[in-house]
Amino acid sequence: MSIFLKMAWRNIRRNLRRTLITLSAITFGLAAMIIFFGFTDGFHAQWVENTVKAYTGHIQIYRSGYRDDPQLNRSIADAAEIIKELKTEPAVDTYAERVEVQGLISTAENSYGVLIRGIDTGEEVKITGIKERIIKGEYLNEDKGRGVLIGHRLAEKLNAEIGDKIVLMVQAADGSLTAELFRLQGTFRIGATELDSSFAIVTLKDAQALSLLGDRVTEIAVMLKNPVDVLPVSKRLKERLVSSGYEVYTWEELMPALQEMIDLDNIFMYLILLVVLVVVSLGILNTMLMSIMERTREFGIMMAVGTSPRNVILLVMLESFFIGIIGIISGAGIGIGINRIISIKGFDLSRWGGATEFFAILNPVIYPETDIINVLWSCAIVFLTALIVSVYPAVRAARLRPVEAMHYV
Amino acid sequence: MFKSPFLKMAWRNLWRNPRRTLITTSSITIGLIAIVFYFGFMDGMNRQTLENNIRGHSGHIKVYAKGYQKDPAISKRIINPEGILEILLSEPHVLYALPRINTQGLVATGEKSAGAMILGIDLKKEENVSDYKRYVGEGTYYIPGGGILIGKGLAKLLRAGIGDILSIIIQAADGSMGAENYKIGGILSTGEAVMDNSLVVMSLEDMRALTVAGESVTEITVILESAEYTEKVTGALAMRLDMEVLELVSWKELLAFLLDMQGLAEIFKYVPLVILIIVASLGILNTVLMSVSERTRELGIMMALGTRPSRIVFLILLETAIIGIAGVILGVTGGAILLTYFGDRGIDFSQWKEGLMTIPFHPTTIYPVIEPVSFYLATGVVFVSAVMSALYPAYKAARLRPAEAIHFA
Repeated sequence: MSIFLKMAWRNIRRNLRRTLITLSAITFGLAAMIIFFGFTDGFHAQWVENTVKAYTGHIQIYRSGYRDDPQLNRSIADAAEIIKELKTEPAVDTYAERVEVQGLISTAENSYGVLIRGIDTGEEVKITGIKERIIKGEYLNEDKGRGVLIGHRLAEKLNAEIGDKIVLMVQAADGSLTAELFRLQGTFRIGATELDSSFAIVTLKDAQALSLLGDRVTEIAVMLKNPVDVLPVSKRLKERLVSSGYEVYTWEELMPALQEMIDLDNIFMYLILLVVLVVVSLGILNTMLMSIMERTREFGIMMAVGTSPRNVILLVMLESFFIGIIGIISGAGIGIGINRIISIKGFDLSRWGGATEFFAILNPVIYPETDIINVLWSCAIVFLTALIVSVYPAVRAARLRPVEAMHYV
Repeated sequence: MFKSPFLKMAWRNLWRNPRRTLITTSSITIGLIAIVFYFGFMDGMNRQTLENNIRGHSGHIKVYAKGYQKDPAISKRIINPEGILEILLSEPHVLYALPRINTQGLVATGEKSAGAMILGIDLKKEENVSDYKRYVGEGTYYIPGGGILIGKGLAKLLRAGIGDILSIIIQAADGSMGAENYKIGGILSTGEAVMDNSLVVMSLEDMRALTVAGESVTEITVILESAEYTEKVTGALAMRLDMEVLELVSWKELLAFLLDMQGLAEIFKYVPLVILIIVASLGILNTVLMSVSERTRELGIMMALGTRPSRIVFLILLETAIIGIAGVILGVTGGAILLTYFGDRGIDFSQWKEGLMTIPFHPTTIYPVIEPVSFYLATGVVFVSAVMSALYPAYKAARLRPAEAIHFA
């Protein structure tokens, strides 16, 4: 065995240039895979994080039946009961009570359908960061009351200035239509078309008064310290809260479209990688075949002095094995390295602002992520490909007839 | 055919080792098939999405009252649409001109309400032009007076079905609030999340009555024979219409975010192309390099007999060019077969419908069609990079010293 290891090692160094070119094809292919993966994973992570922050939080808790049929009379009467449970979960970073209700926003000349969100002005900041997103006017103030924040796109459509009178109209908990006069307190720019053009934010108290909810809320949004804990935490919360008449949803359940888009993206990526892999393997196959042909005489002599065909196969595959190992080490090294370098500054997508705003990618700078699992299996696939394509050349070498092979020029 | 001895030599050289030639050709072929198909897929998807959006709501050109695009208030209306319609229809390349009234309002049942986008259309005129008739999944398109069509998601949200009565509350043209009751005559399934959740369609007459708009409309949607005439027709109309009171907006502006999104997707189009080409080129480089070093003696003899180095370079490049041409012909043929097959049948993505629906009118069945630009780009880049990768081996061959090369074993 050890003699073949030695021979294989020497053989790949015999034509160093050829080995280097084959290696660079593997290295480049693998590095490209890792960078591409890193970029897409980073993009998806950013997308999920932004969407989760702006819309649902990692987990949402409703009164049973609300999600299926969001009526205001299916609201949470005793938020404290839920909050008590949330406080026992160390993975929970923060939570906020909200009232969400569909309504109509009007100025003297114009009106639009909006989602009105009543927020806990203190807690909400930690989730949506809405306070930092105010571009005109100021953030809501509990004491002042009757202030409303709207997105810059909605403000433009309504032609409304700070301080203008705004009427919010909703169907209240008792089924009646209620309308209240508010003042435009500020406009925000979250960087998501939908939020910037169809959300109105008021204080929790004002939303409760407008929709005649008393001190009830429609939902509690929960943010976790680490998004990977979503499943276990939501499972525990379900166990404890479902029996008391609540329902618990993760962001994936609330926004199935988001997860589907990500799945679809990944499928495309796998297909592209498959094609790259096929082309890399054809290159390796050609190189191995030629290096065998070049050594026809040599193999003939080896077999004539008693090397078994099995050992010839072993030798050829060992050569591929070495090339594969070196290729994945350099490929992974370069791929991870470049990912790290790009992620220092990030990759700026703001050129395509319309698209990033549409997808609610609030921060259009993408930081590639290196997922070690993806790297490992990319390496494994590339390595296996290198080994598999060497089977055919190896078998050809083993099938040589010593007498003929020795006379091959 | 073989007038130049070099062409004959190149051809013969390739057949000296048919297996090597075939493997090299197949790496170009497979790479090109993959790229042509992938480009066709992306192009087809983009084109379908745009066409669906143009037919679904934007049209090729919209005529608005001046200032409406920036501030779409119902107070900004086209007062005398009849005269304008005549001018529009007399313009060459204009197929249809559709008067519409578009406004926002609140729709409510006894218990539930939601913001909605309310659209009044000429049912008869739009029947075969826009997609509203095709969207009707349940009920009838030809709603009797006092009837409306509502989006599937909106119906679900309101817990309303065919035959149920809805109240619609809007701000009328004169600034007053108007409300009226309507019977649901049909449910719309548009395949687009926002429209499904917020669209209400009624006849133009009903809409004029509700909004107290008289004969006026908020927009005229113009459909052309083809998108390529957009600029030309917009220019011609700007001369003929009274631009003091009207404005013309092309689909490129109306769908700017979509074009941005497709621009972003270009990254996903070209990155795989570049990766594939580099990997394939490295494979070709290695193969040609080996075929040159194998022939060191032969090339030495040729040079000793007086073949100039530039001719040697020519010979090597010619060999690769023949492989490149064969690869391109096979690749294009293979790609064309795939594109024809899937172009007829379409590729079904309805498994990811929820995700796709978030992009307005994204098709769930994609019919790949390659744009000429993508086609020439793919084949051109593949061929040129194949020949380029033979430059280094050709240069090495030309630099051989005949006296040494002849003695190369």
